[in-house]
Amino acid sequence: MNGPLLEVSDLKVVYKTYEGTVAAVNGLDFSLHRGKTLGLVGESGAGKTTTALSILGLVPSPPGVIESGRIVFDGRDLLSLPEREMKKIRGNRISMIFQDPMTSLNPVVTVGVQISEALVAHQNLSEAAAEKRAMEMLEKVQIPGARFKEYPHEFSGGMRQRVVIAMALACNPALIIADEPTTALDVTIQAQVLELMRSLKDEFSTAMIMITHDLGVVGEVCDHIAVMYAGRIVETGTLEQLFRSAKHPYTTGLFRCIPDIEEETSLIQPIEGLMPEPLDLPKGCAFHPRCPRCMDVCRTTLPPASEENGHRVLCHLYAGGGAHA
Amino acid sequence: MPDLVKVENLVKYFPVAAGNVHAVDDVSFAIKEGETLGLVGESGCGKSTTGRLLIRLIEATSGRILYRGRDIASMDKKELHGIRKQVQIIFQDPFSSLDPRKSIGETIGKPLEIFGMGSKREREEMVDALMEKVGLSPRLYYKYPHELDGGRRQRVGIARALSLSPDFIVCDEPVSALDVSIQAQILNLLQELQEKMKLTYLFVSHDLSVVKHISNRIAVMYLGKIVESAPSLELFKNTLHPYSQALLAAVPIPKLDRKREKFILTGGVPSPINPPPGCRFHTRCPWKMDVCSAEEPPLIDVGGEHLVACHKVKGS
Repeated sequence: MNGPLLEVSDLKVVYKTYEGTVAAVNGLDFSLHRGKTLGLVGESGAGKTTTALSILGLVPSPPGVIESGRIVFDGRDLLSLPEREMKKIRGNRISMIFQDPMTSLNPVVTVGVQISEALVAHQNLSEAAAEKRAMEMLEKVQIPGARFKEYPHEFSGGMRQRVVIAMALACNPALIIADEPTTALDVTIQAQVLELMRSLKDEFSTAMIMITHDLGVVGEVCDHIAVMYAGRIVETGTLEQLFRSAKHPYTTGLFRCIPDIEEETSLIQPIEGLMPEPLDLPKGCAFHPRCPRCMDVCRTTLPPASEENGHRVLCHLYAGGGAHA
Repeated sequence: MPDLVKVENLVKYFPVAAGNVHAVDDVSFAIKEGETLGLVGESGCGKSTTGRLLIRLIEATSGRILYRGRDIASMDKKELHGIRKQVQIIFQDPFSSLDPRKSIGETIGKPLEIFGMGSKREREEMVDALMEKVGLSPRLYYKYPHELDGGRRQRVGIARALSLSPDFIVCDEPVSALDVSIQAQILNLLQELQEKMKLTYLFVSHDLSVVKHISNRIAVMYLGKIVESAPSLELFKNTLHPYSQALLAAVPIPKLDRKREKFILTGGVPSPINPPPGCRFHTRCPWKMDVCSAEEPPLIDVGGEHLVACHKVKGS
């Protein structure tokens, strides 16, 4: 098949709370090809994690409701699959790496058993065969196979995250969703884990969605980037397109927030204001109250998407030569 | 500028069942008036412990902490109380460092109350002025911490630290819990306040790009020791210690063509209960020599206030 591995269109997810309905994901469109890595970037509350949970069918319900959209994975719409079918996909064809390796591992089960669990459940392996494969997986993430019988607390933070990576890769999935996989790690350990993820991704030719708030991490591992703000992708394109010629004022603002470690002097220019209240999103473009280039039209009308060579941006500045009445 | 804070041979051991955690092990440095010293390192290197020792939130095992020439470490309660006005701290987590049952106004005004400054009415005015100074709207006076976002909470923490017009503030990872766009706002605020109020900072952080941005000088810690310290630019241009080099190379940069070469350390940080003999970094150092596991390298001056503790580097 030549089509994309994953195609998400018009995804809308809301959380129904006592105080009102929160639109966490508000009409999302993106696709991912086999073996490629997409960086999903944004700040807290942008809707990154909700997007990931929707793909895995794990949006907590209640309060979460997927209002509309399609998530086509390998030719099938995941949103229309019964739970029985989703179970065959989750952990097998699509797996997830969570932020905190300590809470995503079971503290009372050895790491070996945790890795083989998925193999027994999905691949019809005998326990002995699964055990053997689990040891191989540990070696793949540079942990001696002999440590198979140890418990999570016997490993350091970086090693635990590598165990989680081994679990995620065990069934050779077509897609891995990594939610801030290195945020809880120290920089030197983060560098080790990123390097490992990069080489394993190539070896297993797995596609990946990397959720992160760190543009530096995106630069290390991703081919494509999608920048999210208040439940929408405001800009998406290749790594090169976004790093060389970011268009959306939010994206350019994000770059200017980070002190440059390679230059002698670094000026940082914060984005003024705060993330909008999710219960009360601004009219028009959700970014307009913080936007230094805000125009009248931005306050009233949702900007249309404009696209050039796959570089798509949701901003009135680029909508057919400026403001339209 | 004279030294405002001078730390001599500071040691802090935490006794545990298996022995002593060598959290801070013979650390010496000085901070000049009006400057920012960045203290950088990874989890467990002792940077936060050093910050807390400096204002005596925890007691040092040994060593001296001179503040304007007077030893904080040996002060009695009464003397210490006097010093508390001049040295303050801003904590990392704006959620756990504010009392959830106190309104913002009460929290910021508490230090003023403790030191009996002004009447109730006057204190309220002082709090209003402080809130304005850190960019908090006065209508938040009667709000509670849970009603505020992380960035605003951190502003409350800053206003509280400023309430007694201190000279010296320990900033313990003040922006680590914040989103990048808010992080930049708080960094700019801290710099602005430093200029206006002639503040001296000890800025503790694991984030090298943030430390570089805000500091005049930087000290790099590893397993309870300072391995290198230098003026900010010098440290980045002429990085001498292999650990500092690895730390720098590990920072992911949002650029397509990075100038630095890849240099990835193997292994993790050894246990601080039984730190390795000799140079504590030798277990992970790619340039390890025989002497490194036998002898601890002294912190030597290579010129231009650049100090480094490595057997590979010769002094000037």
